[in-house]
This record gives sequence, structure tokens and C-alpha cells, in this order.
Amino acid sequence: MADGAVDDAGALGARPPWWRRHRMDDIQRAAVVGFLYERARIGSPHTRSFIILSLLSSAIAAMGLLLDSAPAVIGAMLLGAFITPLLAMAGALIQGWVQRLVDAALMVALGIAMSMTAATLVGVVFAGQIDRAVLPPLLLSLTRPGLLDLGIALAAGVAAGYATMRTEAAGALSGVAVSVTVEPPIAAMGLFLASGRGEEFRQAALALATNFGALVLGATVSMAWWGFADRDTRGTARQARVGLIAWVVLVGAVAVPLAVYSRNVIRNTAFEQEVTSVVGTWDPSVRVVSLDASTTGERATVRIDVTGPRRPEPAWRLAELLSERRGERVEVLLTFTLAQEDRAVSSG
Amino acid sequence: MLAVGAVVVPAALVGCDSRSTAPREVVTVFGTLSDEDADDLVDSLADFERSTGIDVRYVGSSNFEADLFERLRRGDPPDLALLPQPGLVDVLVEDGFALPWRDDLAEPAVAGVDDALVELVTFDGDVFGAWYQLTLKSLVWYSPRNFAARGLEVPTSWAELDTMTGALATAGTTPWCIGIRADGATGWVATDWVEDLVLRFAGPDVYDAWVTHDVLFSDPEIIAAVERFGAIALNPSMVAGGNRAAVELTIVDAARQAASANPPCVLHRQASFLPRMLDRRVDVSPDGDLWAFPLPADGGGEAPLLVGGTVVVRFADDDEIDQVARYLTTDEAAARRAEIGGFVSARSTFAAERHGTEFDRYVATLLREADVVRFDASDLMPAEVGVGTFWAGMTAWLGGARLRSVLTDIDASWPVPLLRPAVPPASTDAADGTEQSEGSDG
Repeated sequence: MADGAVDDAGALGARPPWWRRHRMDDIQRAAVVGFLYERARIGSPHTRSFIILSLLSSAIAAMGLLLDSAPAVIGAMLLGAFITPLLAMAGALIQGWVQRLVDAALMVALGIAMSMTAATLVGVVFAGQIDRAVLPPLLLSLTRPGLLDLGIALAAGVAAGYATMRTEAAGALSGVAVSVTVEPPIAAMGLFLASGRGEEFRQAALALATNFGALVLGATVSMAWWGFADRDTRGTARQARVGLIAWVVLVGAVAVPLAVYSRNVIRNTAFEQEVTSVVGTWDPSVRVVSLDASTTGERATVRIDVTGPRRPEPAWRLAELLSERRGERVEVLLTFTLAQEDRAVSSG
Repeated sequence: MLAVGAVVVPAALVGCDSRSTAPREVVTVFGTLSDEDADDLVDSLADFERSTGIDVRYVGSSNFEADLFERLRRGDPPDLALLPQPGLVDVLVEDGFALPWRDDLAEPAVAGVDDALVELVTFDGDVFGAWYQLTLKSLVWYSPRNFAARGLEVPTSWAELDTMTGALATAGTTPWCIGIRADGATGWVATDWVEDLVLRFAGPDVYDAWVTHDVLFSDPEIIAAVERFGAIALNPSMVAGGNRAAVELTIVDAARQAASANPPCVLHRQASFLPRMLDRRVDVSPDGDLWAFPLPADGGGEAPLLVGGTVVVRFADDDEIDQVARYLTTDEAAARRAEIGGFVSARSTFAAERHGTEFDRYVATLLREADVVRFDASDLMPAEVGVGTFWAGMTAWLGGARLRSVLTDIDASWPVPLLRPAVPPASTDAADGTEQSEGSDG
């Protein structure tokens, strides 16, 4: 088994080649360790490029979010440089390397600080863009982290770990997978910081913490599975155990509020769709400008901003229609803006 | 831009077992109550709904008056309405929308209710409404702890109040918090002030004549009352935030300022529903964070009281609707609502001691013992004036408009011919009870 494949023989005989678990050998492991830990510390020769890429990727992501431009945000992800220190953290957790874990964590912190600085500057320069009442959808989505985001980050972490262990799958794509989950929340945090949107900032920070925790956990699992663990070079078993358990607890702690939040988001999204549908029955002449609907299952609140060519049907009627459908207390706050066109021409 | 709010509280939330399969008769009640007040009303009906199998669906609207008349014009009336403005009852009667209460309903509906209040909803001998609750308007809120720390005592006459506030202002302490802004209802706090001052300084006879426009807004006695309010509201040393604060501050913000841990003022005139405006829990007690005294009479003694209230009006007639209407006039309904708090019954048969909180009991007692009780004038005047030019005029005047021209304009806006019920008696023997917050009042 030249490449370190483990031939686990089961009761029915040897597993097929595609199912065999490939473990890295000492040479491969040494190469990965050298690669990761030479780069993932402040002061290494790669620090400068890490800072520059962090600044640029975040600035591009921030501008892309303001423009609601998915291509721009994806472009920013291609530049993202977080994969190395995150994988270094995962490897250090597996091996119980405390100093390397700290070095990598500091590198990540530096990257976050640089990225937030760049995004905040973008936010300050383009403050008018984020003063709008309605956030661009891409930016808005980052204020609503959910369990699916956690799942994406976990899978991205597994993919990044796998790519690092299996050199044939390595490349920029795994870095993009990591950036997908890290760069946009950081950029959003910078924008919200610049515009003084505290609640949105906290939600984006929650998204970042979730994604960051899940990324490292996913990478830890996949790196451990594909043979990064090595008794000869690891710290004490206790250090490794404590580190891993602490990380799992951390991710779990984030996952609980996220699960609650996800449930609420899904429920409120369904409710908003129902409100939109009922509005058509309530008054077909109006157009919904903005809608914010939430429900606990017993009480629902609808803040709706509509426009139309005439005064709409009364708010109580909409509240009653919704209440009849849902059997719950419904409160509606309706804001209406008259939309009338007044054309004129003068021939001179 | 128009902004309105509405709330619908289905009875299923509180009143019925959702597993029961029998279809339930729905009785709709339309009113102005929202938020906690709407919930409390519906909660108080839970026992009634369980025992009768009737669903009471409460629908509240901040645009109540316009929505009600729109519904009536479309032929889509609610079964019952909780009217905060008895002045509307006569319009509803004139237009043939309100139904008279049959004798078997009217008799219990008026039992224990002050004659003057019954008179307001009686037309050609027929009763068209039942009083559900009362709100005491003539209250000055203060912090008993703050008073004790400053060595202040509750004033018992207008002169004492004047002396106290003057001394406070001289010492650099702002006496009053005033804010009159409210979405769609800006001005009612100012008109309440003026009404209280007319009642105190011009007397109940002039007040009654003013309500019917037999005394004009431009009458010297009314001008004097408004100017007396101006001596407070337009005096920068008397009002927190300066002489334009009243028109810049919302009613709710002013109340919250006054009841905050570090209030910028010492006194705040507001109705008995003030605690419901607050965003934090406060100890409403004679020695606590917040308490109130009646706005003193001119020469001391028993202060005349200005009240608001809610009237139940019927628009449809069937057994279930009658059951709900009848229930709302009972002491049992008052007891269910009173135990939640923030409610004072309009009925003297419901003892003051049965009210749910110390403050509610205090208000009920004040109303019972008062020699002179008058209903809020702006709620009795024609709507064009009461909730129209009077509100707007006082707002304009506080914003800098000339008083004489404002009052002349209000007089000119009085509709002709008058659509008024009989004038209430010059004085009343106490209404019993009070309280509950309406979204807008006047």
C-alpha cells in the first residue's frame, strides 16, 4: 500500500478500492505540516500577502454586497486567504499543539481585523448606500444565519480538510469553499459597523462565529479521518482531547440559538408568503413595498408598506383575514403611500 | 403617507378548547384598544366564551372612527363597537346605524351608571349605549420618592400648585413634562389640559355651555383657560425641553420621561392609563415610583374631574350579540376585567374595593367621591371640532400660531346645524370607577 491505503477486511472480504480509507504517510504528513505551520503564524514570510489578500478580498466583497453583485462577491472569495490558518487550527486541535493553535488563531484574528477594517472603510465611503431602508438581498441574507449556513460551513471544512490531505484534490477551489462562509459575514460586519446598524452587526457576527466554528470542526474531522493524527509528533492526549471537546462544545453552543433562529426564520418566511398571498385578496390594487411579518404561532405582527393609486382597504380587514386563516392574534401596522402619476407638457 | 394599525384577537386564543368540534357563533367587537389593552379585554371574556360557546372576536383599529363609518356605509357593520367618544353615538343614532337597547337590555345596562353619563347615550327616551368603563383624565403624576427627597407635598389647590412649580423653576428644576404628538391624534393632550382648566376656572356651567357651543372658543373665559395652559406649556422654564418641547415630544415619550429613573421634570399631567404607556415596570403606589393626585381646584377642596370612557353600541340584533352586550354591562364582566388591572368600571354597583390594583381602587374612589364630573369635552363636541379643529388648533398655537385667530377658526368650523344630544346636567354625583387606555383620546 504505497499510498497508505488501509485495507480493512470485513466479514464479506476486502472492501472495494474506491471505498478504502486512504491515510497519509509520514512524508505526506510532514509536507502538510510544513506547509500549514510555516504560513499560519504572524511574522512568517506569508504574512504580508495574507494581509493584502484579506484587505482586498474583503473590500471587494463589501462592494459586491452593496451592489448586490454575486459575481463580485464570488471574485472576492477567490482571493480569500483564511483556509491556511483555519486548517492549521484544525490540525493543531487534532494533535494537541497548543502553541501552533494559538499562532494560527492569532493569524485568523489578524485576518478578521484586516478584513473588517477594509469593509468598514468601504462602508464609510459608501455610507449612503447602506442608509437605505431596504438592504440588498445578499447583505440581508447575512443577517439571517441559520442551521443551513452551519451545514454549509461544516461541509466546506470537511472539503478543505480532504483537499489538503489528498493532494490530487487540492487547489484554489477548497479555499473558495472556505471563503464562501467567512468573507461575506466579515464584509457585512464592516458595513454594518460603518452604518451603525448594531442588530445587523450582531447577526452577521453570529453568522461568522457559526461558520468559523463549523469550518474548523469539519476540517478537524476530515483531517483526522484521512490520517493527520500522528502519535509520534502530537502533544499530550489530554491536550488533544480537551481542545477537540472544547471546540465541539463551542460549535454546539452556537448551533442551539442558531437552530431556534432557523426555525423562526423558516416560520416567518412562510408567514410572509402567506401575508403576500392574502394581500392580493385584501386589496388587489396595492403593491407591497416592504413587508416584515413574524409569528410565534399565537401572536403575529405584520408591518407592511404598500403603495397604490388610491387609499387601500383598511388595515383591520387585513388583520381579520389573516386572523381568520391562522386562528391567532394578528396585529397589522400598515403604511400607505399614494402613487399617482401627474404628467404635463408645455409646447413653449 | 398614511399609517394605521389594527389588531384582531380571536377568541380561540383564550376562550375555547381548540379540540371542540361544534361550530361557534362569532360576535365581532370593533374598537380602539390595541396591544395589551386588547389582550386584556379578550382575556376577560374567556369565562363567558367557555360557558356560552360564543366566540368574541375583537378587532381594533387606530383609525377607528373612519373605519367604523366606512364599515357602516358598506353595509358591513360590526356586531358591537366600543366607542371611546360618546359624541359619536348621536351621529350613529341620527344616521340610523346604532340600535336601541331593548328594555330587557337597557335596564341592567344603566343600573348603577351615573345619570349624566346615561343621558349622553339616551335619545328620545331610548338607550343606545352602555357604559363599559371610565378613564380619569384630571391626574397629575409624580414620584412619591422624588417628592419626599425634595421635601415637596401634594398641592391641594391651584395656588399651591402654582407656588410649588414656580419655586421649582426658580431653583432650576423643570416642573413639567409635556408632549402632545401622536400619530393621527396629535393635540388631545393639549385639549385635555384646556378642558381641565375651563372646568376649574370657568366652572361646570360654562363648561357645559362650551361643549354645546353656547359659549364660544373665543369667549374670554375660554381664552383665559387656554392662556393659563400657555403660561405653563410655552414657558421654557416650566417644561422639560423648552417652550417648543410640547409639540416636538410624543405623548408616550413624555410619559416615559416623567416616569423614568431620572426624570427631567417633577410633574406630568396625564390620564389614569399612563402606566400602560411605560416601557418598564414601575411601582405605582403612594410611596413608590409613581402615583398621581387630582389636578387641584382653583380654590382648593374637591377637584372637579374630567373623565373619558367607553360605550358599548349595538349594530346588529340576535341572541348571541345580545348575550355579549348584556354580559359587558354586568358586574361579573367588570370583575373579570378588573382583576387583570388597568380598568375601572363605570358602574357604582361594582364596588371600588373590587378593582384589581391599588391605583384602580384609588381612581374608583376619587370618581365616586367627586362632586363634579364631566366627560371629556372634545369627545362630546362634533367630531369636526372635537377631534378636528380643536386638536389641530391647540397644536398650531403651541407651535407658534396666534391664539385669537386659532380660536376664531375653531368657532368657524363648528358645524351647523348642531347634532347634539341633550346637555348633561350641571353637576353629577360621581361616576363610579375609571380607567383603561385608549389609543387616542381627546
